[in-house]
Amino acid sequence: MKKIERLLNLISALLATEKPLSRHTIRERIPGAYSENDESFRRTFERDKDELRALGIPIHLEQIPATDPPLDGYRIRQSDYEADHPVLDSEEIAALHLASNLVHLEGDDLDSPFYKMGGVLQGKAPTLSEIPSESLIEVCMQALIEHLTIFFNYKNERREVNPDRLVFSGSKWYLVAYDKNRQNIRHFRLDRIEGEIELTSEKFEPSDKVSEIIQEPPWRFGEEEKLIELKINKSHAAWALEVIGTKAVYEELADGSIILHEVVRDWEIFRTFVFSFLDAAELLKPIECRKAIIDWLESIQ
Amino acid sequence: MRKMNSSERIKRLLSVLPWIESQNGPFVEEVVARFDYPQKELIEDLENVVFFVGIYPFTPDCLIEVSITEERVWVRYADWFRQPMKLSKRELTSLRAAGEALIAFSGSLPEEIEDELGPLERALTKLSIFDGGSENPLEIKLATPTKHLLEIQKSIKNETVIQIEYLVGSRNEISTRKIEPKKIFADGGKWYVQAYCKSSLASKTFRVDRIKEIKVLNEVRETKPVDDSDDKDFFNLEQFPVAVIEIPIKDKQLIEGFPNINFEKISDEKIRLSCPIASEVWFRHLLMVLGAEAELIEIPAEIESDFRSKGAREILKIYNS
Repeated sequence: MKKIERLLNLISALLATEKPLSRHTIRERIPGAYSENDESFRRTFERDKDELRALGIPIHLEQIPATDPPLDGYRIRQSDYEADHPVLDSEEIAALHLASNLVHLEGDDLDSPFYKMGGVLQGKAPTLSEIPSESLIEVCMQALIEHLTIFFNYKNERREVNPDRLVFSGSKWYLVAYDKNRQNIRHFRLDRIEGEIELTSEKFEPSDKVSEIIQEPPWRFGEEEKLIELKINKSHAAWALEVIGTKAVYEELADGSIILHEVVRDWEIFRTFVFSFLDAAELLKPIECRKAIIDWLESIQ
Repeated sequence: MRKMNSSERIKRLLSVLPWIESQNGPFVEEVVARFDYPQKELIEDLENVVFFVGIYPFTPDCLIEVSITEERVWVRYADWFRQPMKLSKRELTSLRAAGEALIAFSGSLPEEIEDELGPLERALTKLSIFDGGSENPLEIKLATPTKHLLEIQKSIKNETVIQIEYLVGSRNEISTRKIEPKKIFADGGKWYVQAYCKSSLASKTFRVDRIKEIKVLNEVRETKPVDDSDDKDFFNLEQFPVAVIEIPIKDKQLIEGFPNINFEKISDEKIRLSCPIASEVWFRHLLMVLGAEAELIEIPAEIESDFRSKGAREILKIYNS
């Protein structure tokens, strides 16, 4: 029997049964599918099971009723398997298909959900934006979906958090989570999490409070706050304001240059921004930051 | 087309079978198109695989019945396959995030996409209710739509020539150019427009946030609408000379704003950067950011030896005046 035929028959047997089937019953019920040799049967069966589970098929191991001594068996509960998503009309599916083509997460299987919805007739749209993946995204997603507490190291500290949301903003991934030690919502940059994320089996009650990450320049995230005044020449003023967005606070001078008033919580990132203007910007205040810029430049020259 | 492996075929068949069964003998062609299933493989899988699938005791009434005429296909008696698989929570999360990211841009998208936003919103509402009305735990914020995005999209659609005042990254000054925009894309949190630049007679990529002013000109385009969609000339870094710089490992975060730099760890204290110099202004910016602790290991011949100190002195001038 071909492998694909064997797997489809295995799914059929497990879906059609009312009560769990033991491994040996399964072999009897799909004649010709598995070896008579117990050891090679066991190995093939384990591999098949893994392969189907990797496809997302919910194979459960549960006790077979009325067995003494108790015996475990396998089944796929129809209620766990069968689609129950709302019926979307073809226009809605097409729009969703377009959206997931235009904006997609690198590495995501784009087609699988649409096959489950009956397929789509339109071609693929060119990508507007492929969202880069990060190695920690899958474990974060699992924690978010199952509401599991996680541990990780961040800024040399062990954190214990309840994840609330995963946000991609300004080319970076952030995990918004309730930090249990600090008893507050915190934003963690995924690329600054040190090492692995440890998933616990502890479930938490998701909060209904929404904490918005506004699209803000990256230097506004951090611990220590500084109020900065940066003078920017006319030639670069429009660009600077575009980068900062609608929340920019500034005054315009007679020559068209501007003085930007900016809240800075990550000085290093802001310094990078200041240097992007080269000699078209001058940091005015606070005096210790101005001095830091001058010292930095003097050490270079 | 690449041959599908058994996992892929199973995954697809589990969607194909219930769909065929729910239709009254659909055309094979439609099944092929909907599920992206190569026709030859589809027929072979239906006739030589599915035909032998069933449940114990595999008497005729316990086997799936498949009949294929020249054009149409029927599947019967596959009761246990009457429904496709559930959407996983993970799939649902990604779908909602993509849809919501696009909705957030409503008003500044190309018209043909705007037209889809109504149905998209309906679909998202259904999915959100299905998901228990909860906030989606995944949120994708594309680059902030900038004010000129819409005007550029109009220009692409109406095939107009526009004049832009553009802050040229490589010279740190404003220049006026006539361009014929071809396509817009987002990359690394920024919007770009790919256009034919009439001022330099070449295809160029511009950062939308560096465009200061746009004026629509009453001129006819010289070039045709976009043909090749993957022409990111700007991102072709191989053409640029490369500088090699070593910095302390603790300074690694300083290069975050410079996505084109490759780096490798060379010891417990140091990393080595390989920096394609797309423009001297860019390189000067990098050197100022890295500071005095950066060691310049290899510098292309066209860069002067006092390039870094001169750059620092020029900025210092404004602080000393």
